[in-house]
Amino acid sequence: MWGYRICYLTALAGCGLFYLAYGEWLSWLVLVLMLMIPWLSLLVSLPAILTFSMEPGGPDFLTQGEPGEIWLLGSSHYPAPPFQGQLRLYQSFTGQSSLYSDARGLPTEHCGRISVTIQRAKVCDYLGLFAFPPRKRGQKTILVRPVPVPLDPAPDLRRCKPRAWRPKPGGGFGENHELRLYRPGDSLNQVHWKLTAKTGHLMIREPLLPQRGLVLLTMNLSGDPEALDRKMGRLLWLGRRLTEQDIPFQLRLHTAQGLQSIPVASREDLDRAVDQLLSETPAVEGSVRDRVYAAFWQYHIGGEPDEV
Amino acid sequence: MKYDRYVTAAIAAALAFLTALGTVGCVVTAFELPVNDLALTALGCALPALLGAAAFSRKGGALVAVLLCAAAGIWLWRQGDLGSHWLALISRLSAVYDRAYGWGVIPFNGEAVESFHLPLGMVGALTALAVSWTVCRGVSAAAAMLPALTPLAACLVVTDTVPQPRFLWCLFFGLLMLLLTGHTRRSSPYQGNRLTCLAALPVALALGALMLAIPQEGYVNYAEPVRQRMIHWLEEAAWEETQGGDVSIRFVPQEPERLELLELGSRTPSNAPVMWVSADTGGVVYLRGQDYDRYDGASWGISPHRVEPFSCSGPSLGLVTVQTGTALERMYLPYYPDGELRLVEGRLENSRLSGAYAFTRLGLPGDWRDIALAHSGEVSGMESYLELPEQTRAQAQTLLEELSAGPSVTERAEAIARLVRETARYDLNAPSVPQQTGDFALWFLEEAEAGYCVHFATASVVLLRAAGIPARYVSGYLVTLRAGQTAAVTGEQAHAWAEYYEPALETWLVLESTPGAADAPVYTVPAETEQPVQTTQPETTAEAPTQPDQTDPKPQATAPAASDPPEDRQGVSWAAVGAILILPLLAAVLELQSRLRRRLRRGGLRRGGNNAQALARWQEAVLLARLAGQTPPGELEQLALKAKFSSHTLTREELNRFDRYIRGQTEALSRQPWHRRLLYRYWYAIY
Repeated sequence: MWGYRICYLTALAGCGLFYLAYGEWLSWLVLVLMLMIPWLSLLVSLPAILTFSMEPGGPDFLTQGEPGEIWLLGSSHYPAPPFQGQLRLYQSFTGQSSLYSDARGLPTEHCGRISVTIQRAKVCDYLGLFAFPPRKRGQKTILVRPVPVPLDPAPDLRRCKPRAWRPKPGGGFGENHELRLYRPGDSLNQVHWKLTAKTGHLMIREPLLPQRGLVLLTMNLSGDPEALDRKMGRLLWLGRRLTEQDIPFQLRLHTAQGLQSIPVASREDLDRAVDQLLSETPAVEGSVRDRVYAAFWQYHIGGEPDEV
Repeated sequence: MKYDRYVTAAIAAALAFLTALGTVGCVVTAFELPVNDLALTALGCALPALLGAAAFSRKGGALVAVLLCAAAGIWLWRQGDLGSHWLALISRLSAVYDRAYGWGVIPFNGEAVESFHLPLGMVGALTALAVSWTVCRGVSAAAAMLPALTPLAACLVVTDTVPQPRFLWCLFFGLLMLLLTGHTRRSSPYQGNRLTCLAALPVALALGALMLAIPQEGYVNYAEPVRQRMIHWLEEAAWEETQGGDVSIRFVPQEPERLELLELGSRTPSNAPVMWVSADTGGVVYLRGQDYDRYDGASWGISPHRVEPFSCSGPSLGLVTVQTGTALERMYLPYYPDGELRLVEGRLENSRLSGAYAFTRLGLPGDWRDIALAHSGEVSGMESYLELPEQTRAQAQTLLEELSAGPSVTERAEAIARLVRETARYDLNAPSVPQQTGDFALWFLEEAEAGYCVHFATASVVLLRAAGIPARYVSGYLVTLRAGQTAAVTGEQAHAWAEYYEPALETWLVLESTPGAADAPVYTVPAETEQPVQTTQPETTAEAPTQPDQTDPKPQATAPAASDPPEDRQGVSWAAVGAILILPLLAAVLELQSRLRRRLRRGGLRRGGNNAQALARWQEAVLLARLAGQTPPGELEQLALKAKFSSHTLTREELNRFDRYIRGQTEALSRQPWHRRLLYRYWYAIY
């Protein structure tokens, strides 16, 4: 904007000097016109400036290491006037704050949440001579999702398989079922008539459900950015393995807000849980291991490079 | 996209035409160039504007435009007149510059060119193409500024040439629109078009208001006092530096030795103070600086070695004090100074270089008019004040044939003054004298429609001489004073008048023939004014009184006297006519911009794929909901988000949901009170 202002002031000074030297009507008219131009521009721009809002634009999600860029978006009910501003980035996991530049792009080397705020925002008139702070200023959050990090050796998930069955409450259909003698109170619909005819006793076909125990993944949301990357990557990898094998589990995490528990039953649940974790603030002290949990199968995800 | 391109081309054509017309019109009116057919020249601006807009809005169109222009140029060149027209135009412009600055004239020996529409059409075409290119290609407005502002700059630096305001309006409107919309247009042509439609009316009105607020007729030169202060300050600084050396006093000539009448044109007087005058008796005071006695049809000159008395005998009208700050080479005399003063070569030399002096003013006897009217004698012994070119005299006497007046000199002189006064209207923007004019006074009396004091005074003197009355042209200042109060005299009060010799009184009397000026100086003691406070002998003093705002008077470049009160500028009637014309124009422009914006918006709703249409409809829905004070339906918002972010293409049915909402909201808004409906129609362009 300073370029426009310097151009205008140069032209104005030229007209002023010319008027002083020349003094005729036409030079006076040109000088007054030059003086009038900024105010005319301001008048024309005012509706657009008053309805102007500014927000950062860009992707909502990125994968760790994926290049990404953001930009300033200005909108108005009228043709958008020139605007400018700086984008400040704050990475929640690393705690680093920096100004965005197109050359560097977004800092996606670590997973986490990047908060984008606008600072030194200005909206100008159409000639770029006057600058005002915009009335509405938005902000944006970009989640940098982790890359799955495989555990080597992988935990034996067969232990998570159900080894006991229990009757399905309310009956209905079941993959597995048990045959037993009739007990008073059983529904006649459950009677296995063919077997009853063969054995001469009323036989009941009872649907069963697998008896699952609590599968628990624990993790401390703490550590340096590299450790957090590994933790989140391992969580994603292990979580996907579990959901692929249709094993629901529970995430139990220690964050700055305390202990959190997130149930996961599907891939979508897992993605939501990871996104939620990315938005959390890492804990400074304490551990999820300070407590004992009654779990059928428990796995603690650590952040050490060689941790298993 | 296609629709946008058409709108951009239309806007480019309109702006290009206006700018080109303004450029050409400024040159034509400023330099008073002969153009046989202004409509043809306007067409010469319109065609390139349309061609440029059509060509530059298409890919590869620039090449077509260049080829067409080249073909047109070659065709014009082969007609054989183009080169001579250009040379004639350059020669003509150089003559104007020569008249102003003495730079010399570029000779042109070809046949006289009757119309300059060819070169002017080329200037207009170049400007139109540059503006079209700027708008259609979304480049910086600087590309259009250069061809458009160069002719204006040429008009700016010549003193007597002022373009007509309507052409200035066209030029400034085009350039302002280019400047205002340039940034937005470079970002998005669609938004640039919207902004052009939005800004056109405010810019047009603002420029119109500017033109009305700063009329050329009532122009006051604010630069002159500042410039004089600066010069004064610089002189003081230079004087301080040369302290101890010789101090020289610079004389600034107030009246030239020779007054070139054929170089007169429009004038803009300075409002810088030239002197400060006070008088014991109030009223109109003529301050006589220099008289001219030799007239040759083209100029006024001063006969050398001419010495004659300038006085009368009558009652005293008190003291008149003149302070000029810087010493001038001649004194300004009231009618009539007491004492035996002698004019040398038509002026009283300021031999003692006085910065301030005072004269006791004497009036004529109370019955001077009766004495003058009673005398019908002829004047003899003043043949030098009757000299005229023979042809001038003959034609002037023809003009006097129908003049009916009494036998006395004063009656005849007053009849001549009335005749001259009715010849033309008073206007400081008097037209320049045509080049082939043989006699200035006859041209003014027979052809001119407007003039100022120099014109009227010269014509009066010529007619007086033709009538056998000794007369001369006088330059000085016309001041209206209040008794005992000091008044600043500026360049705006510079004046010229005729003096004729009244044999009955044996003195020279003022003959005022300029419309609107005072009829005559106060020759006698006014009944309502006080008697003179003191009567002293004519005296001059070398001691200049301290004057805080002493400034050098403005040197006169052409005519020494330029300004006197205008008779009737017809400001009220023109304002009424302007208001009557502007109101329907304003209404038409309002309606037009509303319709254009609606068309643009509707075009946006139909443009692009279904998702783009959905987003445009969503914006429309948001606007309508905001005007109705509601929140847009969440269902539509979901659809808009889907259109924006998902890869799914919205169906026609989904688009129809937007349409139904927009229709409903528009109908709801149309049931609002009338003032809101006006707002929605002309400000928001809803329906």
